[in-house]
Amino acid sequence: MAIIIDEKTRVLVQGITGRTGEFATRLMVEYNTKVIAGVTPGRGGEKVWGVPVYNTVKEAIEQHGPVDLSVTFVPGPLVKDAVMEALEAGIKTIVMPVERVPLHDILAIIAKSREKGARIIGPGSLGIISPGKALCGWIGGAKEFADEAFKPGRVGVISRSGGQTSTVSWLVCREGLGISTAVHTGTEMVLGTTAAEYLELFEKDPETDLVVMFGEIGGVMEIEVAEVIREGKYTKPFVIYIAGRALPTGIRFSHASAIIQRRGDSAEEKERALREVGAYVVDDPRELAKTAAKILRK
Amino acid sequence: MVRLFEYQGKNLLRTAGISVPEGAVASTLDEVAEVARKLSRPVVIKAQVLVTGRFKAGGIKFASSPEEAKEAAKDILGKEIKGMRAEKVLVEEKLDIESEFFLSITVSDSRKVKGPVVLFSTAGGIDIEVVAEEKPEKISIVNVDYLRGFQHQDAYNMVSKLVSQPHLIAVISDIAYKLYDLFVKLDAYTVEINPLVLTKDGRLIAADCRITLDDNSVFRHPEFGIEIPRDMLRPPTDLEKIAWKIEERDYRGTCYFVQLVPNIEEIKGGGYIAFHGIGGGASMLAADALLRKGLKLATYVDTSGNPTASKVYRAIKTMFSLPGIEGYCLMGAVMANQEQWYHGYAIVKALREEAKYRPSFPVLILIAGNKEYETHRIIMEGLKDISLKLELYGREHIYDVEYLAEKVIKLVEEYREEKRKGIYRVETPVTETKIKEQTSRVLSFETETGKVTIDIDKCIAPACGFACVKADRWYGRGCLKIEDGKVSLAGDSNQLKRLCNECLACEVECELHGGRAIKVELPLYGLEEFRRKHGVPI
Repeated sequence: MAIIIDEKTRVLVQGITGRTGEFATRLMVEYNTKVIAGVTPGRGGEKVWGVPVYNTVKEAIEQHGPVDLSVTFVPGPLVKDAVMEALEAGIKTIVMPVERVPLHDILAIIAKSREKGARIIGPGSLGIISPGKALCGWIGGAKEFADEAFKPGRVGVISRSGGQTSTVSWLVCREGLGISTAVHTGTEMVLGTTAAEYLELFEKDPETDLVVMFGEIGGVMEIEVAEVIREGKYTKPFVIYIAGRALPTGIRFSHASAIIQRRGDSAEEKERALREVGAYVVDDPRELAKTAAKILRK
Repeated sequence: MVRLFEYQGKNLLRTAGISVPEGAVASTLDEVAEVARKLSRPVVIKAQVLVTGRFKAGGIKFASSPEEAKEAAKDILGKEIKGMRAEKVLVEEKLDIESEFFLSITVSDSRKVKGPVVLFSTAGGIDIEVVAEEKPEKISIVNVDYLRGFQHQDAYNMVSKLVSQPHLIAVISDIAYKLYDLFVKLDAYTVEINPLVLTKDGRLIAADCRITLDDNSVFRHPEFGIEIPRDMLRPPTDLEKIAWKIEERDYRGTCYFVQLVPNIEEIKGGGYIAFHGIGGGASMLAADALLRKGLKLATYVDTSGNPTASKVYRAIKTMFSLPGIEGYCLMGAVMANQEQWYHGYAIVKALREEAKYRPSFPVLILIAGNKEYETHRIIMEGLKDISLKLELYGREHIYDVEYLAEKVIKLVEEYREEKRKGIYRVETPVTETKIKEQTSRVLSFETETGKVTIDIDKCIAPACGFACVKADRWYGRGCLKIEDGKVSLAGDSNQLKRLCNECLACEVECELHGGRAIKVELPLYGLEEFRRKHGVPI
């Protein structure tokens, strides 16, 4: 099982010949992800790490059959066209690892994905991994590191920070546990899939017993997590750490989404809302994995 | 988000066909009087600063004559309003208010929306969040399907829920429709009119507005001349402007640079360190812990998203340009997925250059994750003959930021003590002899943001074991090769430009193996000048 991606998922790579696309393709292929084809306009006929390259998504599908998921390694200002092409071709899950995507392009992409009944992961998502099955994006970075940081198991991981997805997972594995699926939400202000929506997927996954999350200041994501828990749409144990408590308000810290500006988006307010619905809120990231281990060993 | 000043916003509203008060922006007291004279009626003088709550802070004043206007403006122009200096004021006709409305379009990140939200309220002029809590019946909201857009009919339905006079409904919905159009054209995050005033003589006028643009879209809007598309409630510092140039056209990874202490004199006062994190989560987490431990951070810098070594190198050089910093701390509190050796080579090249003028400078590095061991080796090898107080940590200390913070404090204290005692003689800067101009004995090629030059006369291969070629095979993308027992280029200039990933490994390894033949020249976008101005060795 796991969520969103597993060993059967048929993956397409858009922008496969670029610096990051090539790097990620090598990683995905080494991890035995089913990468069936790649696309870069004008580079059709080439091969990248053994994966055939086509000029268009349509051509790739005609040659290789249906695609379940496309991952787009296209620079932010240009990525909209690539995603729209994938959505038009009927692909139902699109992972967008690139950052700096114009806001209104994101809005158009999300609106289109609703129309097509598709899911967008990101933008700015490092990717998603179901350990031992498949990964997409450049999460893990290298096979040997991915194997070390993500061992198969029954803990779901959601992170608003790319690197922390791996850090939290690594710590979970060091506690002798493993990961069902780990996903990085992405870093932009508006995201195709939010933490609350991932939680609903983890709720349905029989291979996930508990979810840990690396949260941040700013935005509504953690407050919505509290909502789905209160509504009973997620009932398994949930452990969360929220970064950025001592940081001044009004300044953006790295992630577009991590600016404190509205009511309810400071660390304290989020923590209160989450504690109220019975989530385990830890104030030291080292406690994330330890708490998960304690709960599961009860 | 990029915030626009009220006067900029009003100019945009006017061109969009939405009425704004008559008036003009002024930068001097005489200009204020002149605008008031032309208006020849009671005026309002408004500080142009990017903060809310200007009235309470004394940034808005009324006047009934040009003389009074001039007098009132004295208290505003050039003064600080909630920490921001008012360089300009807006002088406008004072409106005779019948009633006030609120109209805004913003983007919601809520899972149920993820799109534009148009909000209209008959309770204008006050904080909309207060209205939402106390009088929700006075608010009408429309979630917009971005592809379909916000139609006349949507605007009409929204307004007519709260307003009964047909004429008013028509005018307000027309304004809402035009405002949405502007929102799309500007790639805006928010366009807000508060209050939208109905005057006693029946006009509907946008009395105040707030427009914020999206950082990632400013390249589509050169008309605003935005220097740095970053969220800040103050103008960018010189160094932030330089740092933005690292990022502006280079989409390979990200470099996020904030000068936490804008006043350089304060940094010179002592005890400040340059803070550098890897990845947003790690940087926030680490900066948080360091601040809680009482460390003084001059910068908040984050290089991540698999950046090139050249980008990281530039980021470090920018931090070291701050005069008076007394330590450098790279807190990669993250099992990073990116290949960390690019950070490794960037650190080595930058610190080898910087340490010359800062013997025994405190440097604490936490770097972990993908290619951690190789990266540690690169850093230790690359800096072994360099005078630094260097401490290097890896994954076993991944979240031990507080423990590491104490280490940093100790290093900085030691360094300050030594500086006070004058133990170290600082070398005077020497201008390096420039690599000679293109001859047949110099190989060179352009990279995406710089230039690689190999001076064959200085090349010691094969004595070095072709260190540069090996490094390029491992960390680069095969730009160099061995031909007839010599180093040569593996393609034409176009191929090389596309291939080179600016990993900096060839230069560093050449130097570490006893050569001085390779130089990766990376323009620093004005840092030299900045350093000259502030007396920082180049």
